[in-house]
Amino acid sequence: MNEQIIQVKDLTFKYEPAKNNTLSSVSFAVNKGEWLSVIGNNGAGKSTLALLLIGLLKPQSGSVFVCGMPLNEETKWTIRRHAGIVFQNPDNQFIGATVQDDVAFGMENLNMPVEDMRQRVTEALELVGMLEHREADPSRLSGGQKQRVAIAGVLALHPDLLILDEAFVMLDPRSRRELLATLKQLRAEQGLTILSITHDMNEAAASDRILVLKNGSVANSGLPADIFSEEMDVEAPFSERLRRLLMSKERRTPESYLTESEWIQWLCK
Amino acid sequence: MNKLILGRYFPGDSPIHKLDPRAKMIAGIAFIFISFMAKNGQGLILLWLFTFFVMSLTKIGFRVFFRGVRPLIWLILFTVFLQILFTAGGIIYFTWGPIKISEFGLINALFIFSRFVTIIFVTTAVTLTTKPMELTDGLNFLMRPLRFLHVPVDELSIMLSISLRFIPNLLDETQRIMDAQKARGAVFGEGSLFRQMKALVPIFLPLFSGSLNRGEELANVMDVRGYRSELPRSSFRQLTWKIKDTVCILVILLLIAAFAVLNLVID
Amino acid sequence: MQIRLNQVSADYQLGPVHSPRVLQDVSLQIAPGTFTAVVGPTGAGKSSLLKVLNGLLLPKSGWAEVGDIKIDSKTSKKALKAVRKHIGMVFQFPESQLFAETVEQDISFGPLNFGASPEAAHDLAIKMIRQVGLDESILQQSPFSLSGGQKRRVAIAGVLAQEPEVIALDEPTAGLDPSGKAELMSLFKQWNKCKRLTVILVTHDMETAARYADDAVVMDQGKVVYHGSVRSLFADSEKLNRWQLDVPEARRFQLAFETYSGIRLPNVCLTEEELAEALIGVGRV
Repeated sequence: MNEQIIQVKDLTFKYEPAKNNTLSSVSFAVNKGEWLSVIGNNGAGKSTLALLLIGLLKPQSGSVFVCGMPLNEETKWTIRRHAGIVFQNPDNQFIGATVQDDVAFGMENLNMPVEDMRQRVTEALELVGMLEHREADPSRLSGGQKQRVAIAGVLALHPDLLILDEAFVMLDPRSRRELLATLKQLRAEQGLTILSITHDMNEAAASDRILVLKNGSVANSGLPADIFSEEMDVEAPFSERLRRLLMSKERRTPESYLTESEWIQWLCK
Repeated sequence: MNKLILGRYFPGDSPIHKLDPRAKMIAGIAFIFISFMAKNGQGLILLWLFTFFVMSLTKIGFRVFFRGVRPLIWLILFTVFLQILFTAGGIIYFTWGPIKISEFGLINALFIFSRFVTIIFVTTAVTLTTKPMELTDGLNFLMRPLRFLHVPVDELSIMLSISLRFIPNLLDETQRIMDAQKARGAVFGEGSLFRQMKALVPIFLPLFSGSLNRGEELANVMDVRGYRSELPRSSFRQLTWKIKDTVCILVILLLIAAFAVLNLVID
Repeated sequence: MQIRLNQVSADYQLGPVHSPRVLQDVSLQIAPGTFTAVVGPTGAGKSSLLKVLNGLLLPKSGWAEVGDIKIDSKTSKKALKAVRKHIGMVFQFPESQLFAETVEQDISFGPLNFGASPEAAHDLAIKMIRQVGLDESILQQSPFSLSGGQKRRVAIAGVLAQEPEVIALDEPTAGLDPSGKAELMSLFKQWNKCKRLTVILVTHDMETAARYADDAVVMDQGKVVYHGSVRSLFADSEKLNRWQLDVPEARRFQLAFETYSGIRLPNVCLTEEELAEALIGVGRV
């Protein structure tokens, strides 16, 4: 069996004055090296899930294991050395005065010697393609560049897990594509485990597995192709939107989700 | 808002830019005391000469420095006129009730004016040539002795550096909200004082609520990135004291010596 | 309402730093009732163009004309206010401009500034909150208690309430999920179609430009380099490449299909609906 980086069991959470649970009995696991996308409508509880996984919120019941450790007040600091998170607003998570200062912030908190930090900052910025901007201050960076710096800040700690909490949502399409390319490359080169909460269906399509949240519960989970074919009310990438459209017009269509190039081959059969 | 020169950094590579912030800050503070050592005509000339020497070393146009004085000009003139009008002594040129314009008054006014302006020029030279983060590093160093009094020096300096980091965002945000409210027909800076104040509510309220949100997100980010004020932190930015910094301090010591000699000889 | 720009140049003066010219010799005419997308790389001057139309950035040289009001470097504050009444501006993340105690007060802010009576402002608030697809009961709530999507709609209702003839949008759907984005854009399209509201949309998102706009203005380094129909812009891959504009997904699919199959579809497809029809037309599905 694969080593599991995240195990979530019967996780239930409610914001206090509210009546309904934001998350009810959510269970799932993420394998080492896997890229999992969590999708769902606004209000499905996606971002709450992210905050629970990193220990910023405490669940009413249920448990979270990250890297084999149960998440609680004592272990959360250790877990955060192994698991980093990137949030949606590029500006509000840029703490340092320059790119390299920001990447170093997490290591400074671990009281790491300067020489180690210098080396790791260089490595991490190289990985996200931001090394040439190391001296830049945030006002000179685009949103997408800031998000890559945030990812570098996580990578510098040599984490086992990267959590993205709608890290794409504030970016324009071009920045999204560039960030997605960076993610794919990191996955290929570093074997990083990624849990990404997202609205971006191109990103979801590029991941290994999709978990669908609906009204605070897990509605489905599976390969992107299966999810797009089975969950017709879930937003989908372009090729699938075309398939659904033709189906509604009762035309001849592929049996299930196809990528764009598969689609074109199918059309020419 | 954009006219404020104090606290703004002018990129450059002048000898002053290259100094260690600690050297610059110590020299700047020392200069404030030095300016009070100028007690005679020769001292005054030396004070001005040194000030212009520092200003020209920064390779930043003098106009920028003059603009730095502008916000304080009324305060300076007010003090100067008080001195002129109410100091007695020496030859009296003009009398009208309690008001006398006297020799001593004029001389005092000249000294006060010179101290004010040279201090502003020199401190402006420090802030214009030092990046905000270097200033915080320097400040952190200078405040270190306060640790023994249990002053949370490191927390204060991280607070300061984060605040400085977000000033550009805050200015942008202010501009954006002002534009948005203007586009909705709001008019600023017109009518009675009360109306002007009232017109600011649609700017400050969103700005305030936005800053609160930002603060909350920032706190979350610092938390997940492992910031714990109770634990020791290392620092990525290192200050290195170089020969030119020692030279800078020596120059200041020399200046103090020169003033001491001048005051002794002339008395 | 006719909009004209005649050789407008403009820049920002930020303290000691003088920004290079953000608009250079821009001449442009936007006809009433059109839906125009303004596209181009970051820093091309798109947002500055909107600001000139609204008198938030005054031309250094040249002039702009909104209806019969002329805007140049010497235009009076009073005339600028009149211009702003006619042109509603929706800035990026407009929810950050909400400030009042209740949604109704916030929506009424614009109309009252532009001289509407309190009764008229009240009626407008009710009308506009419905127009943006929200319930009337929300009017008495605090805008700060609403969800992100609701806040954005309230902010847009506030701009609509000044009853502008032109609405200028700067990335109005930034940060929204796909369905929220589609709903909002359909509203703008509907107002454009049914009320002849002139819409000027600044966006980085070519999908949105392709689906909703009729005309496109391409800006590059402070200049207008293209003004014409959206379709002929997206038909020209060489132009898109030169100005670093994305090809809409449907068009990209079409080009890939045409290259692979050797079959040419009869027209340039900008949306999946058009692509589906074209594929049906050539008998492939």
